[in-house]
Amino acid sequence: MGRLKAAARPVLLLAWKDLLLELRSKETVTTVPVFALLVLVIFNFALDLSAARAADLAPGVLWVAFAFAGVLALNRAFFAEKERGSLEGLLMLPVSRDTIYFGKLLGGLAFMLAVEAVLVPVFAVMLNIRILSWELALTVALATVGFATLATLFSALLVHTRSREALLPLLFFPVVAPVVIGAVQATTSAVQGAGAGRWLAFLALYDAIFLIICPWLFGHLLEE
Amino acid sequence: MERTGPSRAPWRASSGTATGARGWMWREGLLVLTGLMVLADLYLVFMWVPTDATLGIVQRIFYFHVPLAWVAFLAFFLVFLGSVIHLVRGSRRWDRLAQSAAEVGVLFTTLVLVTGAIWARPVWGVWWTWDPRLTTTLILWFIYAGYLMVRAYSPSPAQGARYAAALGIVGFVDVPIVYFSVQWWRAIHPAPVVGPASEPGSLAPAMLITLVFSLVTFTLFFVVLLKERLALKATEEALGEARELARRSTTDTRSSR
Amino acid sequence: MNDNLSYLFAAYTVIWLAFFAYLFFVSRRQRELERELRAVQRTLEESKRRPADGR
Repeated sequence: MGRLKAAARPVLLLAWKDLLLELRSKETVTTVPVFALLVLVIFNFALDLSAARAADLAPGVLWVAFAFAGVLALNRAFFAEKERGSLEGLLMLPVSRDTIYFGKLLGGLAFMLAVEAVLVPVFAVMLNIRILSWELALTVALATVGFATLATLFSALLVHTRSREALLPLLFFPVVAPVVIGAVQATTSAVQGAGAGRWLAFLALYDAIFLIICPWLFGHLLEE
Repeated sequence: MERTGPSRAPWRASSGTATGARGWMWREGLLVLTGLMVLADLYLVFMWVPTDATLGIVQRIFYFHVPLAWVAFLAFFLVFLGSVIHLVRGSRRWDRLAQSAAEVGVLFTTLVLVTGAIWARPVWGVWWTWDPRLTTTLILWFIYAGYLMVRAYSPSPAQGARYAAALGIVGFVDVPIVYFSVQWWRAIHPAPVVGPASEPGSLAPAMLITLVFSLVTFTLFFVVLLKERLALKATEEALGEARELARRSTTDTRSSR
Repeated sequence: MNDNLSYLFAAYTVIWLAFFAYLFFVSRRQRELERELRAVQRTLEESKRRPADGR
């Protein structure tokens, strides 16, 4: 138990550092939620979100908004480090690659979950749907873990690449398509009161697979 | 029909540009064999196999479309393999294999999508449906197009190779997941147009033979394209090294005055 | 049924066109690069034969 706590400390510290920086600069804290809401508004113009059909379309709209906002929020995991000039410093820390990966992951995850916690009720109000079951909460959590796991890896992968802000969505969306499908289906089931169990299990499996693969790949990416 | 099954080991890259007699023999032998197989396959597909009762002549696209898809998947398995070995052992040869296989794989995937659309139009009345197979193939295309793009935009070939390898691994693991997720989803919301199964349960023996023969033919053709691309890659790298040597030697010459 | 023949023909043509286009471009690039490679190798040979000749 002691070893686990010792390993967790640097991870938590890294995550905390990132969150503090974001809170102080207020860059993503303000832009990301506003962007997600904007996606919702645009959908209102594109589709007919009047009360009758909202229940069918709402889960899809919700998750498109979160997926786009997620890319915006999560790409900063490493891109911001490079812009600040602190990337080399980060890599020279006497910690394992896994620690850096999970630290970044945790920071991005905490941020996204906080944003979603605020936005889900807002969406529910704007789309006139019933909300707030533990199934919905679990869906949001599992799907966000899936997004964050891959986005953190891709952020590291692309940090030295040209056109990285354009390439990230290009790489990210095809690979997280199953998360979007699972999240929308689970949300639909949760909102309708039907069983979302199958899709929740699917999301959990997806998360488990990539939580193993991504840190391993991350370690290899940062060799020079 | 037995396959001579030329190995796809990376050392084959050298036989593309080999000047030794054995190298050329293998290469030309493969080309001749593939050519003959293609001719035989054309005969089987267009003359020999009976026309499908329900779908008519256009069903023969099946004998191209399905092998293209299987070979594309084989290509991406090679990308996966090459990526893993490259990351674990730092082998540049396996990276060359991965990149070449990805390029040819994307070519085959594009053809799968195009032939699929050409088949869909007369048979289902639409150019495209979002059924599990086609959707997964589209996602596959994006993933491996991304693989090729990352290499192009990376600061150095070595880094590009590592980044691409990561994508090759993530992509390959992800594709079955995508397929199952779309299939589960479609089970709840079936597609508006019901498409025929790609391998109908009652496949006549003649059709099965033709399909398998086509598969072997396209696999051989894939190997031909792969070897050509590998040879090109080897030349590219040789040129890069030679240029580097030349640059260094002229710098030395000037500085030794 | 004969209308569908044009679809069959289209599919077949696209496939072989794509293959031969790919082979063509790969071969052409291969020839270009080999030419360049020989040129660079010749330069290397020459610079080896006259090592102190920097003017």
